[in-house]
Amino acid sequence: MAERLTPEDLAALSRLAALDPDAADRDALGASLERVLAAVTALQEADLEGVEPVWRLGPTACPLRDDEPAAPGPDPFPSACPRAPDGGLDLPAPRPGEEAS
Amino acid sequence: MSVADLDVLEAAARLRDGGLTAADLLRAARERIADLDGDLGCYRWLELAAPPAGPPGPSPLWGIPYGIKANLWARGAPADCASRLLAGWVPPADAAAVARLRAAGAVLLGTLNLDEFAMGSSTEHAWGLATRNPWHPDHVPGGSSGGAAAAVAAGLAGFALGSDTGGSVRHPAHCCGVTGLIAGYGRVSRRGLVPHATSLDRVGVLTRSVADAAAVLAHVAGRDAGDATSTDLAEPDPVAATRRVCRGLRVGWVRGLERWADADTLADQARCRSILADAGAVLDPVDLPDTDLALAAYTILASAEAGADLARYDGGHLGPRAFGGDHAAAAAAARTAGFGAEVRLRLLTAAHVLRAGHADRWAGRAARARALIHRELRDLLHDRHVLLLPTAAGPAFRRGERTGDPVAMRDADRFTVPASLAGLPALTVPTTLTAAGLPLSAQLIGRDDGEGALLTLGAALERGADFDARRKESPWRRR
Repeated sequence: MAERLTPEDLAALSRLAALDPDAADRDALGASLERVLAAVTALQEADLEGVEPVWRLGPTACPLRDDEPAAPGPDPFPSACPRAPDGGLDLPAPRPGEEAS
Repeated sequence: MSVADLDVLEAAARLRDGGLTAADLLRAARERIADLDGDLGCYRWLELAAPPAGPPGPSPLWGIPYGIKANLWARGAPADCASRLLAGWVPPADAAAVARLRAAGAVLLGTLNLDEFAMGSSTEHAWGLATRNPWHPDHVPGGSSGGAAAAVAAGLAGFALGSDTGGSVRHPAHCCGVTGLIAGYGRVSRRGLVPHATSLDRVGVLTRSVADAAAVLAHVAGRDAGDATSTDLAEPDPVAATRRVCRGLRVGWVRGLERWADADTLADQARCRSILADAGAVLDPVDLPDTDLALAAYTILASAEAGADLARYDGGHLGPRAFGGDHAAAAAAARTAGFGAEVRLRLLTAAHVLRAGHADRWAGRAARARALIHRELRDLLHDRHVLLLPTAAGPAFRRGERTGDPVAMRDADRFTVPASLAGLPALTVPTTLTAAGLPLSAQLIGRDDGEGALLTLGAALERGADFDARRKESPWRRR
């Protein structure tokens, strides 16, 4: 069924679109929009039961960006982490030339 | 034949054997521009660069003059997107594709006309400049990359870069009798392409031969750290792909076109089937997914995304700066004055299909319809290499014929939007002229990562159709 847009609808849409058409322009745009909406009724008639929106194009995942970490290698981090014996933190020893403070 | 009409690879060979210089090529293109562009209206801005000096570089694009659609960034070249809103705006850097061409030694001639922000199918929705079809001035060049297609057709550029959201490379290629190629979504970086609808936008190539399109694609395709959606082309040698035999390649030809296509287009499709069969391809008929549904989904999704992508023109950073007590009102006034009628219509459409209470009914269903088209096309291509169909239902329409009818204008994209929605590679190959002297073409849609087979079959179609022979009948060759 064709959608009819009232002057109030068009005023609200203009506000949402951050536009400020004069009355004649708003009427012309409204008429065009009604025509466009009337031409896309196939959307309302199609059987889309069970179809989920597409979220990715192509067969391959997008490559990670350069600034995103790749999957970690064979556990490089825990050995560098402070250990926590008896509920406290066992901080690493200072490197040569550094003073503990 | 004038130097301005040479194919890219032919010009490259002559540069290499010393029969031509880059200065000769640049001079010929500029003379053709001076001769014809006053009537055609292809260029929005012209670069005055000198030709490259020294011996030819290793790339076949070295010394070749080319143009870019004015929604692509080139350092120092105004990219106003044919919009009053961006009048005079100059990008500070090259788009990824332009940077690659610059590195190869190609010579930028200037920026080319388009429908404002790439929204249209006729290049009539352009601020300040109208482009005409070089085959017939009373007809449109197609759109939205109409300036690019007309320039390549009439020898005002060796090749051009355009953008394709719903058919904006393929449709003008069809109207102007040139080759139009888009690789699969993401295979060419979109860094430096002014967005229209981000999930659909692609940078494409317009040339005078399929091999030229392959050569340009080989340069501009590939992963770019500046576009997280970009990825490498699967085909390692696109130019070699145009020389492979197509024996055994499987082609699904689309039947049931009588409802939309005119008699010349139907006859041309039959001829294309014969050409491909003679070349050794194996053909069988297929039914295209519902094009009414594809067109509807595209109309809603492209508008909805345009609403978001054009929100950046907010009176604060890009476009006219809005000052005053009520910034929102000043920005709305600037946007209303800056955007043309077609863009304003799409922004209003976006507001309607995304607003509370309507989003599920419109944008939500459109996203699901896109998934359906996506799945159906992939099913068709599961055991076929390409689909064969027309690019458009008939030749270029007359200027002014559809400007007042947004529905008729959008119908020009009926056969191009399915590949756009599915992100598949597609190729338009000019095939013949109508009795009125207007080009027709065939469109091939390939699989994901199927650019190689697409180019192999496209080159076979090009050889069999021999559209190059028909170029002798063009108005600019008869002058």
